[in-house]
Parts: sequence; C-alpha cells; structure tokens
Amino acid sequence: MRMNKQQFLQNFSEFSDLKHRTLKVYGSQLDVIYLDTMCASDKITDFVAKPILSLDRKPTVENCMEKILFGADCLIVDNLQDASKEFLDGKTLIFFQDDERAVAVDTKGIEYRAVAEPPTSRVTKGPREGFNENVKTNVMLLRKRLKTADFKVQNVTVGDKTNTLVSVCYIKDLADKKTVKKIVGKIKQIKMDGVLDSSYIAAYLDPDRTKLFKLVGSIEKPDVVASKLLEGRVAVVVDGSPIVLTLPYTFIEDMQSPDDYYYNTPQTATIARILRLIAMVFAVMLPAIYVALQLFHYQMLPSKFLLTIISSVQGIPFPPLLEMLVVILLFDILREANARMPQIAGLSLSIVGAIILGDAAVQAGLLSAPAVMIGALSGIGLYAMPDNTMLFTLLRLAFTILGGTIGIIGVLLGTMMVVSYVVSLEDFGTPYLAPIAPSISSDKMDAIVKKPIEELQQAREHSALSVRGKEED
Amino acid sequence: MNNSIKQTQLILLMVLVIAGGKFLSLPGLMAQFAGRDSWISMTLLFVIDLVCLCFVLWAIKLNKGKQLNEILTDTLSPVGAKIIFAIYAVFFILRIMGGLIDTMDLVLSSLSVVTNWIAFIVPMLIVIGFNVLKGARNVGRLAQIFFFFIFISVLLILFLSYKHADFSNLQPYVADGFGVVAKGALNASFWFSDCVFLVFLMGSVTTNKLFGIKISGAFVFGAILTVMLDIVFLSLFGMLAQYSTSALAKVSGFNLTSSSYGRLDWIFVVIWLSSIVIKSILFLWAATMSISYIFNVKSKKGYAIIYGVICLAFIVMPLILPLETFIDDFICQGVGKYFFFSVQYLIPLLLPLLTYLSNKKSKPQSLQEDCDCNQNADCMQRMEGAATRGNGQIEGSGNCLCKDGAPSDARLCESNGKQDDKKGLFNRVKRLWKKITAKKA
Amino acid sequence: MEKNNGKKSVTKKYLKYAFIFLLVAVAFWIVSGYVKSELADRAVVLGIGIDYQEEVFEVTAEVISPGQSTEGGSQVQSKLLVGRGETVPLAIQDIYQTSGKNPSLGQTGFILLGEGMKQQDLRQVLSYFVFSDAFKDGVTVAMCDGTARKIFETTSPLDNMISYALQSIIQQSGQKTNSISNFLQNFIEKQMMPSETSFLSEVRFVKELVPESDKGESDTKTLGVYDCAQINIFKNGKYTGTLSKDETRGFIMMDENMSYDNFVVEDAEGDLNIKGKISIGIASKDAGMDVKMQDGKPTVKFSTQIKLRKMKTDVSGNVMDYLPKTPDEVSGYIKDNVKKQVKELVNAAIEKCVEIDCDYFEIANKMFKTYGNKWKDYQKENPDYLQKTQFSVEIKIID
Repeated sequence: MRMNKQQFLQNFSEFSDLKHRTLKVYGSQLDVIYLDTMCASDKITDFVAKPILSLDRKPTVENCMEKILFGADCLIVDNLQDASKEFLDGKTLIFFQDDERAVAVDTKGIEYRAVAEPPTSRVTKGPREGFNENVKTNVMLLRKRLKTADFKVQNVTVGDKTNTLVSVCYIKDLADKKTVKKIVGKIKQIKMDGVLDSSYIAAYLDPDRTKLFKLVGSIEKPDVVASKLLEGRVAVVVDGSPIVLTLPYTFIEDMQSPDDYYYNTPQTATIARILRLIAMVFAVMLPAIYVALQLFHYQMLPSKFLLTIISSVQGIPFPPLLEMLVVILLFDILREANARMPQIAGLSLSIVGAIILGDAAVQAGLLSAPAVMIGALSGIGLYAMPDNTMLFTLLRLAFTILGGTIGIIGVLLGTMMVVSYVVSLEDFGTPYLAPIAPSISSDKMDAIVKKPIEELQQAREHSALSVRGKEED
Repeated sequence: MNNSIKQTQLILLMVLVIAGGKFLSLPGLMAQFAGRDSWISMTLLFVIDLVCLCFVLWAIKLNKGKQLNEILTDTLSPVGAKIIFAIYAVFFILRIMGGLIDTMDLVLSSLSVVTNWIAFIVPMLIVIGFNVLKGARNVGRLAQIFFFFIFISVLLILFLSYKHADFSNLQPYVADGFGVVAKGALNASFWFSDCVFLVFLMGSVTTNKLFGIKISGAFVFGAILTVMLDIVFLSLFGMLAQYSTSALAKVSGFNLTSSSYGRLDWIFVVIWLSSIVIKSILFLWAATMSISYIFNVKSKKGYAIIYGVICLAFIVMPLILPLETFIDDFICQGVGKYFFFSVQYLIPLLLPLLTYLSNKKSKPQSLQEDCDCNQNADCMQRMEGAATRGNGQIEGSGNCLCKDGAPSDARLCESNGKQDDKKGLFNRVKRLWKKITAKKA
Repeated sequence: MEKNNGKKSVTKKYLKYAFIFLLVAVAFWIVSGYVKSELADRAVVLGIGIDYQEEVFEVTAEVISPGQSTEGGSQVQSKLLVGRGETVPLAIQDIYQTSGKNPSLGQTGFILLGEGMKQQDLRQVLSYFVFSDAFKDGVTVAMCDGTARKIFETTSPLDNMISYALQSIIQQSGQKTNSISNFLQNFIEKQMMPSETSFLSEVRFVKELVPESDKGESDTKTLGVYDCAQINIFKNGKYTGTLSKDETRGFIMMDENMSYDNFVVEDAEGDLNIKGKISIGIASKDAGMDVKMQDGKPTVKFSTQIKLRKMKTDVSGNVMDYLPKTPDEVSGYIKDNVKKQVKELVNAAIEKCVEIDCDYFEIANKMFKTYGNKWKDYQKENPDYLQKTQFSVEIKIID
C-alpha cells in the first residue's frame, strides 16, 4: 500500500496518545507524528524538531536524511505497512508535503529494567549481570563478552500483533550451520498472534512431543550464554524477555551451575554435580522405594530400621501409598503457595507448613514420621536442578504410584521406560543424554566429573562435539 | 527403526547379553546335569560360542554392505532364508520367554511379590516394545546408561559372596568323567549362543583393525564374569546347588549371614534385572527383524504389528502351554535343541562362506537409493551400512539423514561415505531434474 | 462432505476416549494383579522355635510387636505366637489361621530346635527353609535342651528379644568365646556330602546366674543367661550324640575358622614372683588336616600352630586385642602345659568321633576331594572307615 498521510492518520484515529504536530519550514509543511507514550519528548526536540527548524532550505526527504537527522537511527519508509510498524515501535514519523515517503526517526523512550543480578540464578562468585527485557541490551551484553567478528546475530520478527524482535545469536565457526539454519527456519515458520516471552518461542523449538523434558535451555545470565555460544550452541534472544534460549540443549547442562566454573577447584564442582544427581534420584525415587519396601519387600530393610518403621506406622489410618501421596500433595501445595506469597509471608508459611503439617500430623497419628521425613527429603531434592522441579514432581508422583502398585519392579521398569524415552530424544541432531549416551569422551570432561579449566581449554577444539552435530565412536 | 549402533555400545551390549539372564535357573539346571563340574560345561559352551563369534566377525569383515536376509536369500534361496528366519524368530522368542518366566519366578520367590503372569509381563513388554520399535540404537544407548550400575551390582554380589565361598567344593574335578560335562553342556546349549544377535547387525557393522578384537574381548569378559559367578555359586552351595531355582537370589553375602542388615542385596538383584530387560529388548528386536524379513515388512507400522503379535504370544503361550516343562523336556533334554543348532551354530559357522558366495554371486545393490525413511527401513539400514564403510564407524557422520520439511515420500537420503556421496549426488540431481520437468509439465 | 467429516471426527474422538478408557482399565487390571500386604497385616518373625511332641510339630514364632513406651513414644517389643501342625509348614500356617496375621519369615535370623527334634530327620524338617529362595540361608540354627518354646519364654537381662540375644551369644561372639555356631545352609549341605555329618550348638538356659535383684524386671518372661558351649552331632539328618564341653573345645581347636580358646596354667615362675593360676589365651591359630591313603588305609594328621599370650584386661572387653606384645612372656613351661591340654582336648574329640561313628571332622569330605571316586568306592566298602583311620595330632606352640 502506498504512503498516504490521511490514510495513516485514519488507521490510528483511535489512538489517544498519538500526537500530530505541523511545522512550516520555508513554506513547506511537515507533519511530525509520534506516540506520546512510546517516545521521549527530549529526543523529539533534539533529534526532530531542532534539526528541522534549523534547516536553511526547503525540507525534503533527502535533505533531512543527509543534513540534519544525524543524531539518531532514522530510515525512509515508503509504504503504509512499514510506516505503521516503525511508528508502533516508538519511532517518530515525519511526513513531507508532496512526497509519498516519510522518515522514521528513532525517538523511543521506553523504560527498561536496569541490568541487575537475576533472582533465579545467583552466584557466590563470578559476574552478576543479568539480562533484562530489552533485546538490544541483551545482545549488547553478549557482544560485550564476545568481541569477535564471528559473533553473528540474525533478526527475525515474530507475532502478527506483537511484532516481537527475535535475535538468533551464534559464533560462526563454532555453531553448526545446519542447526542455525534450522532454528532460524523454525522461528520464521512460527505463526501466532503474540510473542510475549521467550517461552513462547521455546515451545516451538522443543522437539519433545510430551513437552515433559526440557530440550531448550533458558538462561538469565549473559556470561553463561556466552560460554554456551563458545561451545557452539545457538542463543535466541526475544524482546520483552530476560530469558535467553540456548540450543541444542542436553540433560547434563541441568547439572551444571555457573558456580562450577568460577571456583578454581574442579573437585568441588564434581562433588556438587554428583550431589545434584543423587538429589535428583532421591527426589524422584525415594518415596516410590519407601512405599514399595513397605508394601512388597519389607525383607530388604535392615531389621532395626524395620522395627522403627513398624512402630511408626502403627495406627496410621492411611495405607502406605495413600499416606505418601498425601505427604507429597501437602508438600506440593506448600511449595505452590510459597512461590506466590510475598517473601516474608512465604517464610512464615514454610515454618507453619513444616511445623503444623509435619509435626502435628505425626503427633496426631495421621501421618508417620518416616513418611514425612522421606517426603521432605524428596521435596528438597527437587530443587537441586531448579529448572526441572516440575518435571521431577510429575515423575515423583508417577514413580510413587508405580512403587505402591507394582513394587520395586515397577520402579525399575518405570526408570527403564523414562531412560529409554530420554535416550531417544534428540535436539537438533544432538542426543539429549550426550555425552553419556552416546558416549563422547572429550565432552565428558565437563559432564559429571569436571576437569580443570586448563584441560578443558586444551580440549576446546574437540569439546562439545555433540553440540556441533558430531559424535565420536 | 534406527539400527545403527556404535562400537562402544556394541561392546557393552555384548557383555550384558552374555552375562544377563544366565544367573536365574541356569546354574541350578546345569548343576543337575553336570554337578560340581557344571562350570566346566559352561566354559565349554562359551568356548564353542567364541568360535562361532569369530566366524560371525569374519563374515562381517567379508560382507560388503549386505544384510543377513540378502546373504541368505542369495545363497539359500528365498524359501531357505525364510525358514532360517522362522527358526531364528522361534529361538529368540523362546529364549526370552523362558528367561522372563525365570525372572518372574525370581520376583515371586525372592522379592515376595505375589502376582500373575499377565500382570508381570505386560509392563515388561511395554518397556521392551518401546525400545524394539525405536531400534537397536536405543538399546545401545540404554546399555551405556545402565552398564555401570549393572556392572557395579555384579561386582558387589561377587565381592560380598566371595569370602563365604569354599572353592574346595569344586573338587574333585571331572570325577565322573568328561561325558557328564559334555552332557551338561549339550543339555544347556539352548541357553547359550547369545552372540547370534550380531548376525542381524550384518550390513550395519563395519570392520576396522580392532573391531574383532574388541567384540571378542567383550565376549570373553562377559563369559569370564558369568563363569566366575557360577564358580562362586557352586562353591557356596556345593551339593545344594542343583536344588536352587534361582542362583541370583542365593549368591549373596546378605543371604549367607544371619546379620540384621536385611536383604539389601536385592537392590543389586533388581539392578541386575535391568540387564535381562536389555537382553530381552535386543533378542525381541532380532525376532521382530526375523519376522519382518519373512513377510517383507519394512514399515514402522509393520514392525509394530509384528511386535504386537509377539506380545500376544508372550501373554497367551505360557497360559495355555506348560512352557517351562516344554523347554526343559523337549528342548533342553529332548530333541528340540538339535533343531535350533542350525541357527545357533550352523549359520554362524557357515556365514563367512555364505557371505563370500553372496558377494561373488551379486554385486551389492545400489546403496544410495531414494528412500522414504519412515517406510523403507531396509533401504535405511543399507544406507547406514554404506555410511559405516565410508567413515569406518558403525554410527557416525554417515547416518542416513533426511531433509526436514520435505514430504516423507520425497525425502532424500545423503551419506558421507565417499562411494555413496557420488551416488547420492547423482540421485539428487536426478530427483531435481525430475522435479523441474514435472514443474514444467 | 462436511457432515461426513464432522461425523468422522466425532467417531475419532469417541475412539480416542475408548482407547484411553481401555488403557486405564488395563492399568487397573495389571495393578490389581499385584497383591499388596501392609506391614500392619504381617507378623514379622525374628526367630522361630520348633518342637516335636506327640507326633505334632509346634512352632513358636517371636514376632515384632509395636507398643507405647512410658515416655509417650513408641517402643518395640516382641510377642510369641504358637502354631501346631503335622509338618512345620502347616504349623506356620496355623499361626496365620489362629492369629490372623501372616507370619513373614523374611527377617528371621534364628531357628531353635527343641529336644524333641532329635527324633526327626532334620534334612526333611529344614528343607522347608533351605530350598526357598526367599529365606536366608545364613540363618543361625541351634538346638536346646527341653522345648524351644520354653527357651523363647525366657529372656536375657540385656536383650528382651530372645532371638537377637541367642544370635549374639552363639553366632556373633563365636570369635571371642569358645562357642561354635552353624547356619542353615552349611548344616544341610554337610549332611549331603560324603561325611554326612554336621553339628548344632546346644542352648541351655541358666537361671541361677542372674542376680536376684534383676529377676523381678520382667513380668512374663523368666530372666536368665544361656550356655552354648556344647554341640550336638547329626549324621544323615539324625541326632547321634552330644559332645561334652572339652570334646567341643577339642573340635573347635581343629576348626580352621575358629581361633579362640583359653587355658588355665599353674604358673611356677610368674612375673614379680606372683605365683598361682594364670589364664592363657590363643592369640592366633593355624589349624589344618592332612589326609592320605596309606597302605589302603586312611591316615589323618591334625596339625595346629598356636600363638599364646597371657590374658590381660582391656576397656572394651576384647581380650585378644590387648594381649601383651612381648613373646617371651609365655614361658616354656606354660607352652608345654598348654600343648598337653590341647592334645588332650583334640584326642578326646577324636575318640568321640570314632565312638559315635560321626565324621564331624569332615575326613570323608577331604578324602573325596583328594581321591575322588576312589574314596567313594572305599567308603562304600568300608562304612566304618573311622574305625580304620589312623589319627595323629601335632601341636606346635610358636612365639
């Protein structure tokens, strides 16, 4: 559609924050149109009004572009669609008399959150910067760390109504070209009205049909994203979201924490990762095993421990499976309530929950002490890998039911089923469980057992093979 | 089905398959036939298996990208090949059925679970089925995850039992003559020849300098582990060994002391059971492949139907037939075992010759054909075979890849194998030309 | 056309629901195939006593019984359940029928056989346990004078669970005292080997050794201690005799695994001129049996090397760990004296072995392992081979 000022104004007729100023310079009329809520008035004064008024000849598009509008990002738009897009993005449009084109000047005055430490990924050592909701700031934070010509950014706009800018970032020689192409292609294919957060994009990029397992990384710290890019991964930055997506994603990344890299002792990182793994197993399996042992295989328990359990479960009105499900349910309700409470109230809720629901229930003989203890231990384990808390909660529930209905064989078969499914998952050609299955020895240097940073650096050329779509035998 | 397996995965699978399932009723059964010398019978059978394995590995080395069905069809005629595959299918199904019946006995007797056959087998078949339909690659990866835990369990059971064992219980060696040992080996032969699953990976496996050594090394390691466990079992139970129904439940330090630690060893037993599940997956995958060759089934749906029929047999057969008695009386101690010798020993021993003849008879078919990967698994596997020849790996960069976005029937396969690249390129050009002419038309 | 499509999608939807319903039904059906049993429904048995009286087996099971302690918390006690039947399995079944709780033997660690069981073939009785994959093969088996039920009705001053108390006395302190234990699998296996002989410890309740002040503590059970220093010998599953305390010591002296015993010696050249009876303990022992066929006759040579130390106390009660380090403390006189005592004990055990014709030294087992079927034939022709066996004993006291 060709440019027409009247048509444009008619399109935005119900915009009460639309401002329209008419300037006359050397007998020629100029229409300055902007959105009051999106633009900064000082920017309009400095980059639009003052330069135009200081013009010493008849204003034309070329004059303005060449001579005066030097202070900010500006471009010529020659159709209504582009003009609307730029206008809604916070730009000021200058319409010229007897010209079907307009100039869009960047006078955006949108307020963004400052770069601060993200609340979800705090570190004791290392950089404290976190992404904010501005895509440009976020790309800047990455570029600040990756001062190389190989750091590439491809922009795609997604969302019919939101026109959200999505930047796909990667390092040219490290990232797999096919993967980048696939990711960009997939993002371009997304058809939806609005993209309000990166999680909207993640849903389209996640190849897991069940959506249970997270196959797209979500990171709030630029230093972590930079390290992922250096491993050959691709980052997807979405405007309006402080969470940057990284692809391909492997399970082992869940076990890694930024702290692992900022402490110079790889042994502590290794122990921390093993602990996270144990915590995961505890979180998912402990209630199931406890129920299975009680209902089917009590012989497995040491005699003295069995004596304790027998004396504890005496008089409990619920069968073991139901008792454990009640404990899990109570814990999940507490967690859910706690997550949405103000911080101070949340703290008291935890205490109240622990004391009232735990101790009082045991005292009242409604729940047994070992069941509460097992439920609590499993609940704590859920947070060892915070990104997967909900998945582990679901798995814990499923495993508990399996353990309580089929016994330890059910737990074994459940585990085998989950592992079978997980090993079959692939994220843009990268097996989800790499470098464990399939085994890639160079990538294993930073899997569970972390090698010193010098060794990792030496093996840099061979590292993250799986991410780059390569597997060794 | 993606059947490409990496060499490392194959090595782990070999160990698990050799040792898995051998420690249920088999040691007791062999002790019935050969008494305290049953470990010698076991060793003898493993030696025979090793010879067969060497022949299979030789055949793989000679093979030029052909699959087992192609080799057998070329040399034994299509009917002959189908008969062989039928025997293979029955062999694998009976082996796993027997193994799972023993597993259920173990679960019932030692883990004190009271259940019925259907309730036991259905969840098991679901897990097995998922992996069978995903293909051999999934089993390989599963082995990589579970191997460490299974191995640790075996070691712990061995270590905890070792100090209780009285190895003098094995003496006097071969006191009743070698005939008893041979008889024990003959009667237990049905439960061996585990490495025959390898023949179903013909065409997907390539040889390099160390491949044969690594695979046979894994076999020897698995065999040593199994014989060691049998020796410990016989040393512990001496004359009582033959009365035990499940050696796995018996061989444990926790069983042999009156400590108050409970039966913590059952945790290891449960972990060990996963090796039986992995073996079942691999054998039922081989059975599915056998049946698919018989009926020329090449689609995912077809494999699912075949597996469904196998499941039905698993559920129904033990209910209508006294399967344990049938296997013991007709196969192990009867003439049935000779029937299976054809696939257990004859085919592996003849395989190098058959492969040679097949190679001589016909050149390998075009390896780079247009294929629908979902529907033409045969082609896909051949492609993988080609890939392995190209880069010297079982699973590597030469896997069959399909271009995303293209409709399934128009997918193009590409491979990194040199020879295949040319053909692939040719096919691509051909297909492109076809498209262009079609558009013009 | 559209209508048809709509119908199809509705049918598809219903099919989907039917499939989900089918899945849920199958899942429920599978789950219902697994029989669950809560701990509260089980009688967890710690130990069982088996008696045979008037052609009926009586099984006494000591089961865990949770109760309330005086402080308000829970306290675990044990209770006795009794069942009778023509066989042991039926007697155990009787417990289920009469008490309503399923006796679970998974935690059983001790089997006590009453005196009446001496008439029974123990291979038959114990096969119920030993041929089960679930029951522990390492369960301690012992015999008692009187009925097993009576022993279960007693209690030790320090342990209110009789099964744990007896297990501790017989089995766990085997390395520190001169009692000897046997376990289920070993007992049955030895009966099936060429020697066909094995033993069981004998438990005797001694009421007198408990101080009067302690006797009032338990209302229902009689307090006392247990003497397990003698063993009963069984051949082919049948009782053949009981070894005296000295014969038992002689038998233990030749056991490869057992290492402890002590001797009293009149010390003529004591330290610091303190003379009188002193206690000498065995610090280490290396015992062995050498078997040979010489001139068509079996020859058995028992040899043992013993390291002696004077007994001194320690804070943990473990005498052996605190034996003095200086070897010359044990004089030649003491060594000779101990050697003489050991020889007497071993000879007594050998004489008893020949007397009751029970090969509890497992000579036939070793002969079979050495000579194979040749020995089997000899044993067949000479069932009284123990009478024809030439025994010799060699005792060495080392520094």
